[in-house]
Amino acid sequence: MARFAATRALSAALTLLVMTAVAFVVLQVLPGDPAILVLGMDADPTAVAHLRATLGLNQPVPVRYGLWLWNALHGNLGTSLQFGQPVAALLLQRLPLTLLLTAMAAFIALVIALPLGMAAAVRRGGLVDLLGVAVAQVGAAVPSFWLAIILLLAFAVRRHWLPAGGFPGWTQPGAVISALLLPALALGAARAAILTRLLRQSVSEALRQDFVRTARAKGVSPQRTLWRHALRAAAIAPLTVFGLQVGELLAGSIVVENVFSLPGLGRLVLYAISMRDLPTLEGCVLLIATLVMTANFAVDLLYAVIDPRIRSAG
Amino acid sequence: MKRATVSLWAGGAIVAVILFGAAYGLSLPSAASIAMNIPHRLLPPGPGHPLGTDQFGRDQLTRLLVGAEASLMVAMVATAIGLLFGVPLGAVAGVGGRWRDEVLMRLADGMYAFPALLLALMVVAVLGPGLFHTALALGIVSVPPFARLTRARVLELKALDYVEAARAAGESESGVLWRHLLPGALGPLLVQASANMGGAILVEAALSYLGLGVQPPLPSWGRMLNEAQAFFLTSPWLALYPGIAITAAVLGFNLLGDGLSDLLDRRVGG
Repeated sequence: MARFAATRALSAALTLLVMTAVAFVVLQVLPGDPAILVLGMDADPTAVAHLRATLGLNQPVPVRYGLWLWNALHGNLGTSLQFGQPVAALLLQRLPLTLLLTAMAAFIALVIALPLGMAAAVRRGGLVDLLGVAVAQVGAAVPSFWLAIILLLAFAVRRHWLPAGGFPGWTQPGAVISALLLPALALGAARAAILTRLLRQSVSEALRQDFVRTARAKGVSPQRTLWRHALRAAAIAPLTVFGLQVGELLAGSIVVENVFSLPGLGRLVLYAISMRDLPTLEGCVLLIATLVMTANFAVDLLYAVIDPRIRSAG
Repeated sequence: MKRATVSLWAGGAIVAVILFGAAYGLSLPSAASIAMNIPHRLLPPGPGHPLGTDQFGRDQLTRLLVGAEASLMVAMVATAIGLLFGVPLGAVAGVGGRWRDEVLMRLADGMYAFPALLLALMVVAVLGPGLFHTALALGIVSVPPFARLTRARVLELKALDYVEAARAAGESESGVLWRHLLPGALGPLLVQASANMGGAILVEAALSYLGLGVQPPLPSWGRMLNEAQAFFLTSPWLALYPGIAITAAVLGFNLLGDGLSDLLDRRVGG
C-alpha cells in the first residue's frame, strides 16, 4: 500500500509540474510581454519598465519559471496588482466558500446519481431506465449557468424561498447553506447526469458477472448483492470520473459564482482577468491545479481501498 | 441495438435542424440581427416576433439563428484544430520510441488535467476576447483528447497480426501508419469529434456568457443569456430560448457521438 501511494503521489506531482509549466507558458510566454498585457498597448514606457522590474520580467523565461515555482512552494505567490495584498492571502480568504460550494455540488450529484443509476441498472430497459437515460442525456447538455439563471428565476425571484445571490458571511451557518443551495444544485446537476450514466453502465456490467451470481446463489439478499458486491466492483469507472469532476466543478464555479455574486475563487479568477491582475490569475490557476491533482490522488488511493488487486499491483 | 439507432437518428436530426438554422441565419442580411428597433423593444413572443424581441427591439429568433452560426463556427474550428494537431501528436507518441511517447503524453496529461473552461479562460485572458480567439482557445483545449485517443488506438492496432504482417512484407513505417494504423483510428476519432463539438459549444457559451467570447453586437447564445439577465423580471422569455438552443445543440452532438460509438461497437463485435 505504501509503495502504491508513493508511486501515485509521484505521478500526481509530475502532472502538477507539467500543469504549472502549461500555465506559465500560456500566461507569461504566449502574450509576448506580460507588462504590455497588464498596462495596455499605449502605456507609458517608464510605467512598463517599472512593472517589468516589479514582476521580474527582465530575467530569461526559464529563470522566471524556476523562481515562480520556488516562491510558490514557499507560499509566496507575489502581490496582487489590483488589491495590493499578497495573492496567497487573497486566495485563502476566498477558498473556503468555493470548497464548500464544490463539496455541496458533489454531494448533490451523488445523491441524485447513486439511486437513479442503480435503479436504471437493475431494471435495464424498463421505465426507470428510460427515464434515467433521458435525464442523464439532457442533464449533461444543460449549461450550468443557464440552469443557475432558471433556478434563480424560479426559486429566488418568483417565490422568495431562497436568496437570489450574495453571501451572508460565515457567522450564520444556516444562511450560508441556503445561499449556496441553488448554486450547488446548478453546478451539481450536470455532474449528476454524467455519473448516473456511468453508474448505470458499470453496475449493469457488474451484475452480469460470476461473483454476483455466486452471491445470489449463496442466498445473499438482492439488496445486499447490489449495494455491497455489484456497486463495489462497479465503482472504479464512476470514481475516476468523479476525480475529474472536481476540476469541472471548480471551473464551473467560475461561472456559477458569477451568476449568484458569490465572493469565491471563481469570482476572483474573473476579476483578475478583467482587471489584468496577472499575479492573482496565476495564483488562482496554481491553486485550482493543485486542488485538481489532490482530488485525483485521493481517488487513486480510494481505488486501492475498494479493490485490493490494485494495492498489490503497485 | 435499438438504442444505438435511436441515439443516431435523434442526434442526427437535432444536428441537421441546427445546421439548417445556421445556414438560414447565414442567408439573412447581416443587419437583420444587429439593427436596433427601439419602439419594438422587449416585446413578448407573438405574431411578427415568434420568440419576442430583446432590449434593443431586435428579433430573438433571428438572433438565435445567427447565434447558431457563431456557436457552430467556433466548435468546428476548435475541433479541426484538435484533429489537426492531436492526431499527428498521438501518432508520433504511439509509433515513436518510449521517450517520445513519455514526454508527449505527460504533456497531454498535464493539459488534460486542466478543466476545459479554465484553460480556455487563460488563453482568452492573454489573447483577448473575440470569435477567433475563442475558437483558438477551444482548439488548444481539444488537442490532448484527440492525441490520447489516437495514441491509444495506434498502440492497440500496432500489436495486431495484420500490422505485423504488413511490416514483415517490407512496408515502411510511414506506410504502415497511413495505410493501417490511422484508418483504424478513424471511427473513434469521428465519435470524439462529435463529442468535442458538444463540449466546445458548451464552453463557448460559458465564455460568451462571461463576456470573454463572441463580442457584441454579434449575437451568440451565451452572450444573449448574459444580456437577458438584466431583464429577468419583466422579460423572462429572453433567458429561456438561448438556453434551450445551447442544450439542444449539445444534446444533438452528444447523441450523435453515442449513436456512432454504438454503431462502431456493433461493427467491431461482428
